[in-house]
Amino acid sequence: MRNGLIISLVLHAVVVVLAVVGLPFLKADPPAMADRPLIVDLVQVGERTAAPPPAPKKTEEPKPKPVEKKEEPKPKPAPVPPTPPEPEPEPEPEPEPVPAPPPPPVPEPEPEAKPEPKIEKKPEVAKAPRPQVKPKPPEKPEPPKKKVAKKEEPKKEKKKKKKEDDPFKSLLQNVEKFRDENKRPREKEPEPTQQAQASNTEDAKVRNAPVASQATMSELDAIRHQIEQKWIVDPGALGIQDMVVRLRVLMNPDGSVADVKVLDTSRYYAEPAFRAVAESAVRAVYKASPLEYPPQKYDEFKVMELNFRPEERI
Amino acid sequence: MFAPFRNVIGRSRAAIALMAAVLACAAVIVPDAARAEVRIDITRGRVEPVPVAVPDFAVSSNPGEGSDYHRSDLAEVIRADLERSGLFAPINQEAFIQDLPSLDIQPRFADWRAINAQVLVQGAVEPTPDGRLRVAFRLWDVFAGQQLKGQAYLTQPQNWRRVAHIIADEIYKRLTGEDGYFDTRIVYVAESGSVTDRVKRLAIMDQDGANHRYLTDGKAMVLTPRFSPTAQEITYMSYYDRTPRVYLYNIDTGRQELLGDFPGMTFAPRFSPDGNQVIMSMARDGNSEIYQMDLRTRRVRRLTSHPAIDTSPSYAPDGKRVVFNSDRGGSQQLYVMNADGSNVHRISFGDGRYATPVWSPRGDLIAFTKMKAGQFYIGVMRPDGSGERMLTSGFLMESPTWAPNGRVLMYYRQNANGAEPELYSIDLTGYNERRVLTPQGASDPAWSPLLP
Repeated sequence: MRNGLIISLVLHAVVVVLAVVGLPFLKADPPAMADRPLIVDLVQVGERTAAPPPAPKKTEEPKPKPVEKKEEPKPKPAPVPPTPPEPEPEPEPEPEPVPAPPPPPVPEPEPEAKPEPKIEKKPEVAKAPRPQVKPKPPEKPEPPKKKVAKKEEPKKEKKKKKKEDDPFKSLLQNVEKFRDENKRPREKEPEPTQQAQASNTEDAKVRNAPVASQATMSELDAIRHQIEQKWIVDPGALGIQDMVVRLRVLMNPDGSVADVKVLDTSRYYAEPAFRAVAESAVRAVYKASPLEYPPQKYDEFKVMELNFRPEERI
Repeated sequence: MFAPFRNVIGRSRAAIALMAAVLACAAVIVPDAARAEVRIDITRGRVEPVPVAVPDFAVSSNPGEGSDYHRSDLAEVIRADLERSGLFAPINQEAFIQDLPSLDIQPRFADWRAINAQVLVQGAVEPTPDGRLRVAFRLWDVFAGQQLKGQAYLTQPQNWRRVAHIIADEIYKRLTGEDGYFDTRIVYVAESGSVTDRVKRLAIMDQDGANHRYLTDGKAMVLTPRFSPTAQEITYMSYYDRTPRVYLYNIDTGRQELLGDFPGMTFAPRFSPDGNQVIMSMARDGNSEIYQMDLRTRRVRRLTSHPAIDTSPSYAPDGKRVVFNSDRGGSQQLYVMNADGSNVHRISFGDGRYATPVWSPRGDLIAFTKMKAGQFYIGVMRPDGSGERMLTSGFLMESPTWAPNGRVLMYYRQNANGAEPELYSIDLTGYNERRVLTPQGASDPAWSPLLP
């Protein structure tokens, strides 16, 4: 019985050890940074090589606009009926602050008429069962309206009253509104940042993670350039056009090279010409030390695999 | 208290074995945990010579006997050889920080890194009691901080030059992975006299120009000397008695013998890689064909049979194929055939005329002379005819010959009508074209194999 107990414990231990140590290897590949399209833009590295997240305050700007704009056509045909439906759908959009921000920033700079039908569909899809006939326009602005409900209410009321006087005034108002829109975000900043954080918590992983922890193309290029400057290659060596030398480099946090290892050890010892090129590659890495790299991404860069392929010189 | 454990240990050997298996699995998996997150492709480098430091050799016994045992001569020859190859750049001795008075002293690598040396050659020479010289060296990788090679040689003092070349070859071989070519000789035709009354003599010298001497006296014109790959013999053509014939000349004994008395004119002899056959072209009845002769049996065998002119044959390093030039296609072009004469196929298709093909001892390239639009070129192409590259061009240049490692070509060039021809060498990549100094005009060079 004791034997069985011990064997059972040991096998459980095996499973646990394999799960802890082995499973991660079954899962992820390193992110394929090399496949990302190169954005050629002479501006700051970190912000540009990952998809730039829209600034929080900007997401707030367009929201009041559709609110107001929708308000204008609405009061014209039926000033009274839209208002009651508005409070009703309002509670519903509450759980949907997240999908709403992406649609509004997209059509905002354009004139309201065209994009509205397009973006309406998104909130419609989001909130599936809904009375669609008239309150289509109010559906879209409602989710954003909910957020800015507090401040927008007084302005909305004020504008509604204005527009009732003169239909053409709405056009003029737009221009003024644009100007007001531009001014307003500064006042509203404390609020939208909170809102933005709330909305961005889910997006944060999508948009902010690439910048924070992954190696960007330009950082890889910087290291490539540093090593290329120091690598002396002999283009007449036998078989050089097909040669690939792979090195594993361990780097210290200050950028100095701790260890360099040639990965094709069998070829290294069997072929003198390959060994000569491999040694030149190792020498290049040592000469390029200390390497310059973003120190905050040390965990990514601490173990690097360098492929020396002298194809371009031949 | 330990009773239960005793029971356990006594009975569960299987459990212990399983524990060992678990630990073994963990030990196998865990080291791999250092997976590279970043992979970078390096596809470009710089083509420039590697800086090397060769200080004068240390003399490890009292030098008060009036001789420094060639300590600086040895280093100078090594430096010159490495520099001439174009792959290394010796650093000026004035820049050295550390002194290395003996081979037992470990170099301070930081000092050598500071002057940007990547490789350090530390040497020492000392006389032995029986009157010989012991020359030793260590080759250090400065950045990795370890010794790459160490060797010692015993030799007669007057052979110090050869030892220096041998050491340079060892350094070259360790650093490039290919055989060196410094311990070799060049045989060529030394030309002098006026244009109408040319005197042509066979001459031989070390590949760096030292130890020059003449082999014939110039009474009979000599052409196209070629080295045997195995013995210290040269074949060449001579117009002794106004009849062009192929001769065999032994360098050590000075003996000369007629390779064959062939009816008709014989041209351009070359040895096979195993040294047993000589291949040449012979013009008989107005038709020039390629013949092969076995040196031991003196039997002659005909390889080509075509009304066109077939000449200038050269063996591949494995002895199985032959490249030659022929105008059977209408213009003078290069052809390759098997060593028995079968499977003749054309490999060059460019404009101009191709001549004097030579197969590289490395096997990967064929060098040739090309004439096009009044200009002469020395070029290389792969044995299948692809990758044709011109290395150099000029008013008149001809007869390329490969160094035994297949890396460097030597040829002769004449810059204008009436100018003296001169020897030049060039790397197969087209870099590092250099003049080889000779006492007189020089043409038709031939490179010896590595001396045994």
